Amino acid sequence: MKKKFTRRGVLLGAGAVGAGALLAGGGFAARAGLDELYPPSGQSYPFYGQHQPGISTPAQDRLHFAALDLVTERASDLQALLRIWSDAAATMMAGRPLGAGAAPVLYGDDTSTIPPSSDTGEALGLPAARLTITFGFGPTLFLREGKDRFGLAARRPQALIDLPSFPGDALNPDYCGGDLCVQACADDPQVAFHAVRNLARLARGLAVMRWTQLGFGRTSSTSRSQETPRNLMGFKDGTNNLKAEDTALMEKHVWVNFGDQPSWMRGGTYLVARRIHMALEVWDHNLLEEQEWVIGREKVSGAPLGKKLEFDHVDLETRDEKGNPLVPSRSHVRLAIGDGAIKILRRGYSFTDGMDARTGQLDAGLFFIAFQRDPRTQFVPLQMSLAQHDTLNEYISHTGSAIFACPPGAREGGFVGEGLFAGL
Amino acid sequence: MRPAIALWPLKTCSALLISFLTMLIIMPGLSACGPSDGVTPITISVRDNYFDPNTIRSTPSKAVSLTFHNVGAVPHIVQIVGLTDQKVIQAGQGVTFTVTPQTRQYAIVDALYGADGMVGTLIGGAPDQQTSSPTVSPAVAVQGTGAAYKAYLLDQADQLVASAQKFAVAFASGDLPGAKVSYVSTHQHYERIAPVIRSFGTLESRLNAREYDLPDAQWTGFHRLEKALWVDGTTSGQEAIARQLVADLRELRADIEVHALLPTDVLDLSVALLDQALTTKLNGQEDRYAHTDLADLVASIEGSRAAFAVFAPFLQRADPGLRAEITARYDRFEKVAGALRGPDGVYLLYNALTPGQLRQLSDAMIAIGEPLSRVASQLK
Repeated sequence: MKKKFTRRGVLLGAGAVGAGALLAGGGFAARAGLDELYPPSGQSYPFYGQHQPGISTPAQDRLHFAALDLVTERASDLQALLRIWSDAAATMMAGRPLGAGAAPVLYGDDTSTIPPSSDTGEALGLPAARLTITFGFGPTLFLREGKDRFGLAARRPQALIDLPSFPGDALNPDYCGGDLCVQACADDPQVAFHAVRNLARLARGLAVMRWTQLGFGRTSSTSRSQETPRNLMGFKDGTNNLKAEDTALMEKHVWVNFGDQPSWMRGGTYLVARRIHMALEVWDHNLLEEQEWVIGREKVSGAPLGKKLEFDHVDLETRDEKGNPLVPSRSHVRLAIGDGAIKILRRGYSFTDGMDARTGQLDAGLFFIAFQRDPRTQFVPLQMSLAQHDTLNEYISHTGSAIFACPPGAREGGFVGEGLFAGL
Repeated sequence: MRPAIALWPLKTCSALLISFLTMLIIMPGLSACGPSDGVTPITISVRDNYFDPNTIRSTPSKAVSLTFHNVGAVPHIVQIVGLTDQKVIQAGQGVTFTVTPQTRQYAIVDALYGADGMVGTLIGGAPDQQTSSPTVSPAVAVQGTGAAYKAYLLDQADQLVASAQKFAVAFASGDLPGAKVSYVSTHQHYERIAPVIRSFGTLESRLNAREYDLPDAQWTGFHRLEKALWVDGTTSGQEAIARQLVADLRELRADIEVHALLPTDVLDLSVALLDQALTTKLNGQEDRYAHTDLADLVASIEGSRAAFAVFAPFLQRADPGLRAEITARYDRFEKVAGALRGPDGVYLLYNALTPGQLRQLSDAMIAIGEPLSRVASQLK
């Protein structure tokens, strides 16, 4: 069912949660589970649980995302890697260094041959910074160029499709695909960087990095405790995003359900990542009115065109005196809402990779990340509609693309993706 | 004598003169307007901000044929008050009024430049009656930009259809080299007015979709033909697509005819043309097979400048510094782009451009965008 929240509802919800987060700084709100959702800055989230962290977790400020390719061909190596990774992720998310930390590992009295420390050390002394680490499996883990490297092809989820080509795609193979992904989010960029660096280090000899993306600012709120942030176009983005508090909607649109196949994905979700370049120089010299028509919202307030406040209902029906809809028919907001049936959990980040040396223009935009129960019925039709009709396409181009199956959370003592190997 | 406003460099002007000559040939309406027996023909040169001659004398109660030739660089809207309606005259074009003046003076007014003093006089016989010099308010002048730009659009659309007809003939006769040459010039006409096409439903996707934008069975237009010419190396099998292109462009021309344009629309289109140059042309995604992106890039900026040009006289009053700044930046771009031609005068192919040349183009275009967007504050 569609639950449309009202402005009033949002205020009440945000008030209750926000007050708790601000005042208590510890366990606070009366509702069960809320203390997990809102630890104060510097606190940590648990790695183990029903779902992987970093999905319904209130979006942190920074991202370091990495896609990796396996260089081993043995399924047992993959299992071993996932176990090592899971242990390391649990440790780092708790704010602890790996192994003996950066302290020297001494073998007897010999101080002449001290190996490198087990933790690279750059996060020593930093708080956990709400670090979350999320793992995913790409389509090529199951089948790459017709080859079933790990004997897993028959276990590939049907929802883990190869994404189709969308109109206007300008994909650079350097930013596409991957056997595995690691999404590290934290409030401190060095903590996120440290996580990816150490996981990649642990994988050396088994997996190599294919591409990475740094995100410097969140562009979505995934919880009512958070303000809607602005993207690099200066607009509030993701006002209508799913929120973690809407547990029924999260069940319906994000988590793989009890009855869904394959069973090892239940409690998991599918991640679609798109590196979206924004032509910011072009955007900057377009008239404000044009920008607002393209987006369908007012720039400063974030209100839908024709309304006053950000969370006002987007009125797709009302027309102006000339008969044109107040929210233009090819505006981003209208197309993203569609008929209201498709919802995804967006968790993207603004990025910049410096500038394009050929043009002198900023290489910047949105690293779009969305979680959903089934990309075939969610991301794909949504993006197909946007790619065909959205006037925003004049200012953006998709330069990278990847899809991953994120298994459910691991139980303590287990590892992420354990179910994939059952009976193997 | 008032100084002419040098808006466009000489080579652009001569290009326009050439297109003017072409217009004379392809537009029967113009040549039919010539003077007939018993009518005195008079020719007036319409320069950027004055009529030459400024005063015309004719015999009262006798038909006179006045042909206004726009030999300047900007469009004009000319009216002989009391005798004719307003007529738009694009740069390089002409219009002929056949009138019968009475014994009095008539003001010849340019609706865009009239407030700047671009007013002439038609004297029917002795100057026994004085008429006060009519003035055009700034508001009227800026309102006129929509009509002036629309005339530019129609002119380009006419040239576009004519060029596409030749293109289709090349396809029908299996003339591969001819079709390739025709593709480039036809697509340039298209690019000069491309953003307005967004207002006309599915026309844009029918005319200019790239491969994979649409299912293959629905893919028509310029780029399908471009692929046939440069990838498949043949015209055969695509004749119907070429004919469809002509039909779709005729539809485009008809749509423009009934399309109303406000001053803000014109400014939007000027910026949008710049945007198109900065995105699909600059990154080489416009002509993926022919690599003629630079020719299209130049055409986009020409279109952008033509849209800006209709504001030029208005800005000259409202903010002359801004006008000068934008004009200088278009000039700068034309200098950069003008250097990127081979010995035959043809623009270099995209894949022959060096990173440094792309960078110069990009910098020159970005420099136009910021002051151009500030024109909006003058329209309120």
